Amino acid sequence: MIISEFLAVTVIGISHILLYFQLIGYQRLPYKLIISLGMVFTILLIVVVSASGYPEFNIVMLLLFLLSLGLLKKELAFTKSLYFALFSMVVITLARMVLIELFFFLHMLSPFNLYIWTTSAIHLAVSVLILLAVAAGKNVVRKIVRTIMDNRPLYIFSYVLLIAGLFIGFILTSPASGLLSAYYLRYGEASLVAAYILFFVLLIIMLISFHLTKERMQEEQQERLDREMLDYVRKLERMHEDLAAFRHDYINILLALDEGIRTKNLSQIEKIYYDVVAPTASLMNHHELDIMKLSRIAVPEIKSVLSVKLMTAMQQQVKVTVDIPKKIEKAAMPVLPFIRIISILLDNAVEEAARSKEKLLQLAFFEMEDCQYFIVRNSCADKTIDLRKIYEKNVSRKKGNRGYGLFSLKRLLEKMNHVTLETSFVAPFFTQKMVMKKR
Amino acid sequence: MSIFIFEDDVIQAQQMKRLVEEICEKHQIEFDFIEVTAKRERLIEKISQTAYIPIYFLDIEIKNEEYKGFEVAQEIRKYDTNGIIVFVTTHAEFAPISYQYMVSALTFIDKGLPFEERYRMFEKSLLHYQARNRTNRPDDDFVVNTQHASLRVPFHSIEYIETDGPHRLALVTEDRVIYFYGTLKEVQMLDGRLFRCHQSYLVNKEKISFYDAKNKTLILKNGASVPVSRRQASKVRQILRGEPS
Repeated sequence: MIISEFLAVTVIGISHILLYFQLIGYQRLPYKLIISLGMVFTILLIVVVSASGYPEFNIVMLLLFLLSLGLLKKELAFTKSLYFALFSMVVITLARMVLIELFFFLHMLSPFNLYIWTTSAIHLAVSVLILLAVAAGKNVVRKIVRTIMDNRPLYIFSYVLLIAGLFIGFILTSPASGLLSAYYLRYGEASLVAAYILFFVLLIIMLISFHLTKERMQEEQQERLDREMLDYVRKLERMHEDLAAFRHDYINILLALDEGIRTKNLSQIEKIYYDVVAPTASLMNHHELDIMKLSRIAVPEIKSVLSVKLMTAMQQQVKVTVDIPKKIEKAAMPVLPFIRIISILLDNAVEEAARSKEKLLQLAFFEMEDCQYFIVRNSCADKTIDLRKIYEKNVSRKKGNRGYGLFSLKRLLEKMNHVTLETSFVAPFFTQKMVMKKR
Repeated sequence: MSIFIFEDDVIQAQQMKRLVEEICEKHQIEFDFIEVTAKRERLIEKISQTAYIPIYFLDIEIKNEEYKGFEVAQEIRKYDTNGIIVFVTTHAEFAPISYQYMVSALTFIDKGLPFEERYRMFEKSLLHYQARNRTNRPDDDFVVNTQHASLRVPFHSIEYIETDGPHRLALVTEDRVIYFYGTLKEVQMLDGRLFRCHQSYLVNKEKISFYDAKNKTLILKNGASVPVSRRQASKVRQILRGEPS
């Protein structure tokens, strides 16, 4: 029984640590380390609490422990670290309380007898349940945190709630120190009720922010698509204007030729041919028409993104070649992340190619055996490139705050197990090769 | 050893042949024949007569010919998976990248290059061909082929492999980084020359220059540094002393 209780407390300790790490965005810790941290912490706690006889140390210690773990991540501000520590503590403590109550209540309804070990069993079950929930809700937690951080009023409001939760937690630990125990005697009942209310308020906040995140992401998505569509239309319009201008010139040329032929003036015809007609041959450069190969891609979103990016490159006098030998029915990953990834790759490539001397950009998209390849190659002005460094946050040769490109590209790829990204630089060419295994 | 030149322009074909002969003489590269042709059937027929690994110089743009360089390359690959394929073209910078991957071609050579540079490109290809035939074994490639990732790099180019997020690895070579799905444990098993010097690092033993005991890092031949965990420090010394580990 003691062992089971100890296990329950350890599991809770581990959940705290795990949730906290998830909150501060520290994911690279091996599970062994988290488990041993949880054990050490629990033993420490038991020793301190039983030696001092003050149960309220429980909370203080937990808070301090989590805060000190927060030091692992240097860029974390103290207020945020405190917020996350409080969040982890309050949410888990409250969830545990509520769940235990719920389990007891369910137990009352069930036909089972109440044994001495039932309490420990319930404690253990609840702890394990919480740990599993924390482990499973990894992505959700991250999203919720992002929304709360971006939403100032929500952040402050939840901060206040969490601090209130801290006090309630203090009162409910049946404290032994003078003032707190007095409060416990006086407000014990009330704070229990308050704890329940708090739990549900927090739950609602979480739900709201989860909903907000979803909505915001959809909005962003829609906005981007709209913008790209508009861009596409604008480019088409310009092409159309060019064509109209060409037609206009063409008619004039014909008229001039007509005149020359009618008067059998060969030298005039020659002159017109060499001055006016021959130069149009370069306009018909077949590489300009390479972009037509995009029609081999059956996914309209991908096609439009690619054509916009490539036309942007052409406008900056970059020579573009497109290599799509066969029809492509679909991308070997969901369309939205694929578009984000190729946008990042191409934006970088276009910008870099435009700065370089050679001004070359090659795009290849093809399938081979069980893989799909997306390759972008561009000429570079730089003589050397630190291939690891360009993926770090805020590292960019671009001006303004667009430094997230390759960093977010890597973040996107972290979720795609079947994708391999190969970045290489053999002067003057920088190549990004993305290989997607087809499933 | 056999050399094929697939080119429809007679003058260019002869130029190329002379160039190849000259380089072969300079480096004493042996060959039993040089086949110059613009006919696909002839080239394919001759493959069966080759000894060891042949090298093919294929022009991509062949006029008035149903089969162009790329199609011929694909056909060659049906009979010969090891042969070295080099594409020769007027605009190497516009050559489709997909060709290179689809028939695992060695490189593209631009006909428009100045003579010295073109000479160097041919020389490089032929030396590669010589090296391949001399050792007479397939390239020493490091191959990862799992459910999620497949990649191939020459083993000697690997510097180290590092964990990069949960279940993500970064393989670092002199001029490229490859991010893929996997664990160090599973990669380590693939080749005994990789040494686990740290919880999240595998280093290519052949690339180690020396051990910086003060900073607990391995300095590689190209100057890169890789951390060493305390537990592995003695093993590192062992390896550097050349003792079997």
